[in-house]
Amino acid sequence: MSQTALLSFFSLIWLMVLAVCAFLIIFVAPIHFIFLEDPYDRLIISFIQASLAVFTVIILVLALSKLKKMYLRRQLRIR
Amino acid sequence: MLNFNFLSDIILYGVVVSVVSFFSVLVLMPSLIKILTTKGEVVQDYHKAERPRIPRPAGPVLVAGIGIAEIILYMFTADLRVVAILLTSVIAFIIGYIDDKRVMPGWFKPSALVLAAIPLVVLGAHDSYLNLIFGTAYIPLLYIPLILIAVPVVGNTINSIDVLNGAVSGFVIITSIPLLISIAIFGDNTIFLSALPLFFVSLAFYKFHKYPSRIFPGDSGTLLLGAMYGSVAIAGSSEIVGVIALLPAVMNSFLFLSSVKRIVEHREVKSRPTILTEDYKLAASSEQGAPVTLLRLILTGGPLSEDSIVHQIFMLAAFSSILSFVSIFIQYYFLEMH
Repeated sequence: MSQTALLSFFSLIWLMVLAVCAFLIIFVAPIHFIFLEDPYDRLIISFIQASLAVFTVIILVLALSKLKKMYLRRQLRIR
Repeated sequence: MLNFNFLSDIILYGVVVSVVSFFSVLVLMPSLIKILTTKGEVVQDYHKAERPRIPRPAGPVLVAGIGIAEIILYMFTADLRVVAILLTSVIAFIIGYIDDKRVMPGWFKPSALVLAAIPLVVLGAHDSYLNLIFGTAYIPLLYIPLILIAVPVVGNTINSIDVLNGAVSGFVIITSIPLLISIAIFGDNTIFLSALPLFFVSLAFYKFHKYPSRIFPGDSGTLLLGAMYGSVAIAGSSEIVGVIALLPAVMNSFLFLSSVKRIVEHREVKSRPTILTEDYKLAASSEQGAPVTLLRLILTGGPLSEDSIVHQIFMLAAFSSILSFVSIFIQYYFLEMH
């Protein structure tokens, strides 16, 4: 039971990682097209991409934290 | 992807680096065990009834195995990326060795490991594109801070899974298989060859580290393996695949950090995540303030013996490796087919 629950927990985390990758590819990576002609494009693009990527990772960490609490409540019966 | 026009070179160099790294550890380790035992550089194995004294650290022999193999590979290829991977691994080994010899504060390893990442940046071992499973992102500037963060994170992640006899060596063996396959597909010949010693050194070391351990890796051994894992994943364009393979260890670090809320050594935490029962099995602690770790989660089903827990860790590593293989397949579909 414990092993099955852990495997489901890891599968869920894996799906969350894939979701973050998909978000970055669909929404963050194509940003450079907007600034194609700008002479400062490289710096601007990197700054915007970095900010969005960091924000996305923070959301992932918060979601993982929430998931961990839900899992622990079930498994360890911690309030 | 591997260039099969040079298939004979791949086979010849691959056999040489694999054999050299594997047999270096196999031949040198018994001597290191004798030397450390004679010098009294031993620690107690608390999870056994008789509390045997086990020599530590095995890092010097592991770094010798990796070092000799990478130097030979550099002589064959003259590729500076091999030097970058070697330097990263050696610096991580030195940081771990300092921690083995002196009691350092919790912040020491993560901060000092930033130094280990520098050769990868300076010698240009990285790409400007990050493979994100469903495509690639061009991040020439962002990639550099990412490397400086990734190497310390992976080094400490592998270090955190060194909890029981054979756990870290077996874990690295299992999780380096999807990494090697990913490097073969998304990396190139040289990086694939330079990653082989990671697998073969761990394989040879497992013979001495498996339950019941004859030697412990120490921080010098675990940081070396972790930093090398991170550096070949970066140089081989397999960062996310590597993270997925390491999920059990990543979650172990994440669970620990999010429960203690600061960077500390395990020895500095007052409440233990597990307790030792009278029949020398491990059980999950029921203390509310005890840190949450992978070990504690595994033990929620009831007390287990040390070798059963290690077996469960290997099962989790195998499962995350399967997830990693699925990710490789998805990435191959999106990058190569489209």
